[in-house]
Amino acid sequence: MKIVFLGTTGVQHSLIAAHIYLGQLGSEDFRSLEYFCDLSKESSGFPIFIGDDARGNQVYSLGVGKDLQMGQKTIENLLTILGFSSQDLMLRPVSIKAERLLACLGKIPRYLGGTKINLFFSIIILRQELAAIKENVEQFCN
Amino acid sequence: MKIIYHCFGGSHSSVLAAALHLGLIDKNKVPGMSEMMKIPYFDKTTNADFGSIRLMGIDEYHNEIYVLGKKNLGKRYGNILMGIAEILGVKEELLTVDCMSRVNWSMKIGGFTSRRMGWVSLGRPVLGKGTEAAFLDLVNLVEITRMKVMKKVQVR
Repeated sequence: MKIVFLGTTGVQHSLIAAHIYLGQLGSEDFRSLEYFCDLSKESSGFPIFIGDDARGNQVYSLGVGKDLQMGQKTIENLLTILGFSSQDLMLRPVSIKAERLLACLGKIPRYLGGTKINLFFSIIILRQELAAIKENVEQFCN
Repeated sequence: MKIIYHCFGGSHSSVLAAALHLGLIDKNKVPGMSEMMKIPYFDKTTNADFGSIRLMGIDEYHNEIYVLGKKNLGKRYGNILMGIAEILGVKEELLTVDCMSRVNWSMKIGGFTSRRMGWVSLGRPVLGKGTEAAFLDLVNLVEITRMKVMKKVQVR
């Protein structure tokens, strides 16, 4: 089975959630996570493979833009028309209060220092939201 | 194969492209507004339809033709769908087609006025003019898509 952690972006809170789920988040230094705040990866739109869990499920992180519910609905529709179900691919939306702000940070142009600004503020925001992200993952595990 | 035409609202350009693909309208003649209004879903969707993949029909090669409204999420949305198909191992079964490159300002303004603002009598004539102007571009997009599908099927 595939497990996809869905967020407004796939390189911030949903990426952290996937790492928490896999037990790979050692510290709050998110910069050590591969693809963290990687805007080129995010703009590609493709799911990011994070790793395999203990049951052999493949775990991914995916950003679907500012309308998380719409993204979830589209993917669920797609699964149906392709002949799959939630037994084959499980979606786990990760929603936090600052998700829209995080998405906006990624839109600051590079020539205005967008990459550094995005990284700097994302770390601060996500440290504050870490408890909420963990709660999202715990709900999924239970 | 499943072919998904997508645009902002899933109500105009994607629906027209899907109708052209299915032969519901003649590609050699620019349709009038009354003809376009006979197409299923054309200028009839609501906000609740955003994100829903809706079946328009099945073409002569048994490809299923769908339409989707994805708001302003751009080409990335097509990649999201293709990415999901890829991790499920069915990438070859899916083709997504972004219709936004063929949409002109009249279609955007008319579509927004008719669907989002609900001012149908004001938006629809503007939309009609825009659609007439974009019609041949949409025909071209559909022809390219049909070629892509044929190539994909041949490769398999």
